[in-house]
Amino acid sequence: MYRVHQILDKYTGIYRCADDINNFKIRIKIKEIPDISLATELELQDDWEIHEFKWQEKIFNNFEKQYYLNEKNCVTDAEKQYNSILANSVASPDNKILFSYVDCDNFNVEEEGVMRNEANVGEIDNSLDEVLEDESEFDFRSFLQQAIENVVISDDYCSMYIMADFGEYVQENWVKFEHVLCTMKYNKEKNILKVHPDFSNNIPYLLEVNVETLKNYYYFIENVQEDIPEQLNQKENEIFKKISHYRRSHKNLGLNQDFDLPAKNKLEVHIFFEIVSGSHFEYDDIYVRYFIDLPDKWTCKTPFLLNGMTQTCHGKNEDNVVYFGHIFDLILEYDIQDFFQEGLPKLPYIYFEIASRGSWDRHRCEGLTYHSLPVGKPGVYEFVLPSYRLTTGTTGELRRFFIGDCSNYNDITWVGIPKAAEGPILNKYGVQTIGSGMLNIRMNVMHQSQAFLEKYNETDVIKNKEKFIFEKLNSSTLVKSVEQVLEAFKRARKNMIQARNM
Amino acid sequence: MAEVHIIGEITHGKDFNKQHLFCKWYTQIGNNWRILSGKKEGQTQVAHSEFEDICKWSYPIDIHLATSGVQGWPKIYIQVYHLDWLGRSHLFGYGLITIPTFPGKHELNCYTWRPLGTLRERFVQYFMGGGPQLKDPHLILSTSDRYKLNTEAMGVVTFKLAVVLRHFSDYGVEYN
Repeated sequence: MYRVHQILDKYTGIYRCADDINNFKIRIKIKEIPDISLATELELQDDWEIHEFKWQEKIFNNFEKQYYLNEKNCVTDAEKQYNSILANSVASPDNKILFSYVDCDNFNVEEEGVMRNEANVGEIDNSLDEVLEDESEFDFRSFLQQAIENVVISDDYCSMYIMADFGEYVQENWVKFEHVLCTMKYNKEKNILKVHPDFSNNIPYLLEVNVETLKNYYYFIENVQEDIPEQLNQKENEIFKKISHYRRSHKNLGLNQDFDLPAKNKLEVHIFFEIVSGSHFEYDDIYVRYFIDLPDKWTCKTPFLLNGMTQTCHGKNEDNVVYFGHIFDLILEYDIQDFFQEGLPKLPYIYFEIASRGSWDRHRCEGLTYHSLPVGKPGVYEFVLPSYRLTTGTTGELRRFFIGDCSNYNDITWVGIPKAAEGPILNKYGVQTIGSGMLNIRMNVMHQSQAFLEKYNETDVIKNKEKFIFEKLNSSTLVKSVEQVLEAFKRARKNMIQARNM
Repeated sequence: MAEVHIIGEITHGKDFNKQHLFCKWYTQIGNNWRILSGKKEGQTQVAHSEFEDICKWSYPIDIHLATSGVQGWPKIYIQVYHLDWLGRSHLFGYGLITIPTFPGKHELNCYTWRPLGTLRERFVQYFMGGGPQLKDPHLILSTSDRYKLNTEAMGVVTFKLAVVLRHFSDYGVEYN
């Protein structure tokens, strides 16, 4: 004789799932017992209706089989899917009692064995955040206190019901008469599974059903999830250990755990610049002077690097190749609000003067060239810059030969777009130049801005990868919010001035 | 904290006017960088080729770095030496490259130079070997003092590097 769980004697089992919920399996055994007092062990041994349910596995009852087979009844996607499943299978009505409702069936039962404290739900989020914020000073007691004060049951549940249907055919149609056998709710975030009533392997639950006559059913709820094999479990533990060891070793490095971020409204452009080599210049001992022209709105963290000079290099072989390998790192900053106000920023330009140092320290200009800094898109760039030098005819050449003609220009930006240039045409006519050698430069460009952070780009982060910087900045909510703050500030200031004038 | 892997090799040196070369290399990183694993410096074997004018080293490099900032991006600087038949080593070039900031495979040429002495020193150097060297090789990393140097172009050292970046996008860094 079994001891039986009485109807009221049902508890909710709450389980923390270490494994994926999709591996979860539940087995239900159910049997009608004609007379409980007369039930013997023997009688209870066989003839159970048994079914194993996977998580969110849909089993149809006879009513549903009829209902969903009719295409007119199917409106939602899930229903249409049921229809296609049923249409493709030979699902004849059977005598099976067990079936299930899954999450998308929107089935709901009011009666539940779980209490909830809804009054506090609003406050909790804040208090939890506070706890999480200062992790360093984690105090278990205060945490526990808070946990007791704010009992939260998240509403975000995925549910599944295992049902029994004791209906019957009335003429052609199945009249359903369903009972909940087991309610399961799973919280994805916290990995918590609630089973009501709890699993019961040895003691059956009693279900009394009143269909014309009183019928008694016994049923078992069993957890038949396959355990993780020992080997896999061990492997997993090892991996976890490795990960934690790895994290710990990182902490021991003495590195600042916070990555350096630029100021909120700044876009930082890191340029790792390299003046690599040159060739085909007239004289032997070549050096390069460079000068970076920053337009308005751009600032540089290391302004002393904005102009500089390489070593002097003696050329070799017939092409007069010179090697510099001159490296410098620049960090340019741009205020991202200006993207809104001004649109595309002006590009910074770098200008080069290649000069030679002859005997008696005669410095001669060997070439002038320039290039824009590729601040628009990060990446690796290599450029071969052809150059030319200015000349003033024969006298100029004589002068160059005898006393040198280094820095024989007024404004180096003239080789690019001169600052003084106005009007529709940039006229360089009338200036004599002589073509000269080549200069090789290489640049590594990286961007950093808080506007690129994922939290400001919740939507289409992946798509963002293909966008250019301006679009990327425009789509960032950080830029927008900064803009809003700025506007609010301007408004406030305007009000203040107005108030003062009154 | 972001991570950078640099995996590759110092492939060969070419355009040096002599064979029997070896190469010392060092990684230079900023203050907010740390080496997680791998060697940060090393030295290749002495190589010479019977048939070609290049010295093949195929020297492996495998460094794993952690960083808390973009500043101080790793650089590799090298010193190339020539070993003569008397077992003396002569400086044959200094070189400096920046590790690419772009993940993927890269073939990099490091152009080397060495200090050039006066005419008399060069005369001695031609017959006796030797020659001027930098007292402090770290000087090649500084950009502001370079202009004082008088150098000559030497050869090209080729690197084949694969760069792997990790976690940079979590900190708003865009590299491609």
